[in-house]
Amino acid sequence: MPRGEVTVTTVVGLPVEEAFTLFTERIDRWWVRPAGTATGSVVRFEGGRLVAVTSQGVEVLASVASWDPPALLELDWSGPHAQPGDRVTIEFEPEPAGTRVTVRHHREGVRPEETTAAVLGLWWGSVLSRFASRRP
Amino acid sequence: MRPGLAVTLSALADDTRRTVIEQLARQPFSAGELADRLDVTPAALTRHLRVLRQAGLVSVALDPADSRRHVYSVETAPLEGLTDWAGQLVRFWASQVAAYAREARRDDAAG
Repeated sequence: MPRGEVTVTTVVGLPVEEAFTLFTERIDRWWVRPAGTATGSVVRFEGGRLVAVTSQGVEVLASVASWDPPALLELDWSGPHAQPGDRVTIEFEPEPAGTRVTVRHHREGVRPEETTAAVLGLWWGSVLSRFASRRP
Repeated sequence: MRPGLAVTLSALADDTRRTVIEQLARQPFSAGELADRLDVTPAALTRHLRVLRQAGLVSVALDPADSRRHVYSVETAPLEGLTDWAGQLVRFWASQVAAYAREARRDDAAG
C-alpha cells in the first residue's frame, strides 16, 4: 500500500532525554489547542493514549503504538485532520546543539500521484504567496 | 483527485515550465520576455506555454498598456486543491512543533 508522508523538523537546545520528556510528560505546557476547543482543556499521555480532557469529556488524540524513550514515539493518530490508518512518528536524535525532533505524519493509501501533488502543493503554496504579494 | 489534475501534474513535471510559472507569479510577461529571461529559444518556449495553457495554468491577454502586445499570467485555480491534505497536516504540525520549540527555549533559558 503506498503511503504519503508529511515531515516537520526542528532542533531544540535540550539534551535528548529532556527533549523527550518535554514532548511527553510536559505536553500540556505547549500543545496548541485548535480554535474552538473548550478553555481549560488538559492534554496528557495516560493509559497508552494521548488525550485532551475538557469539561465536555475526553477526546482521544492518539493511541501510543510504541514508546521508546528517549529516541522514538509512534502514535496511531485520531486527532485533528485524522484519517483511518494515520501513523505519526516522532524521532529524537542527539545533535551537537541539542536534539533534532522530527515529526512524520504517514498516511496510508495515498496514490503516488497524490504524493507528487502534495510536494507540488507545498511548492505551489510558495508560488501563491508571491503571487498574492505582487503589485496589481 | 479532481479530473484534469493528471494533466496539471504532467504540465508541471518539467523544470522549464515550473520556472515559467515562478516568473509569471511575480508579474505578467510576454513570450519574448520569458524566452530572454529563461534563455530558451522562442520555439521551445512557445511549446511550453502551449502545454501550460492546455493545463489551465497560464492565460494570455492583451497588455492593457499596449494593445499590440500579448502577456501571459498565472492562473491559480487548477492547483489550489493540491494543498488540501498535505498543506493541512504541515500547517497543523508546524504550529505544534513551533510551540514545542518555544517551550524548549524557555526550559533552556531557565536551565
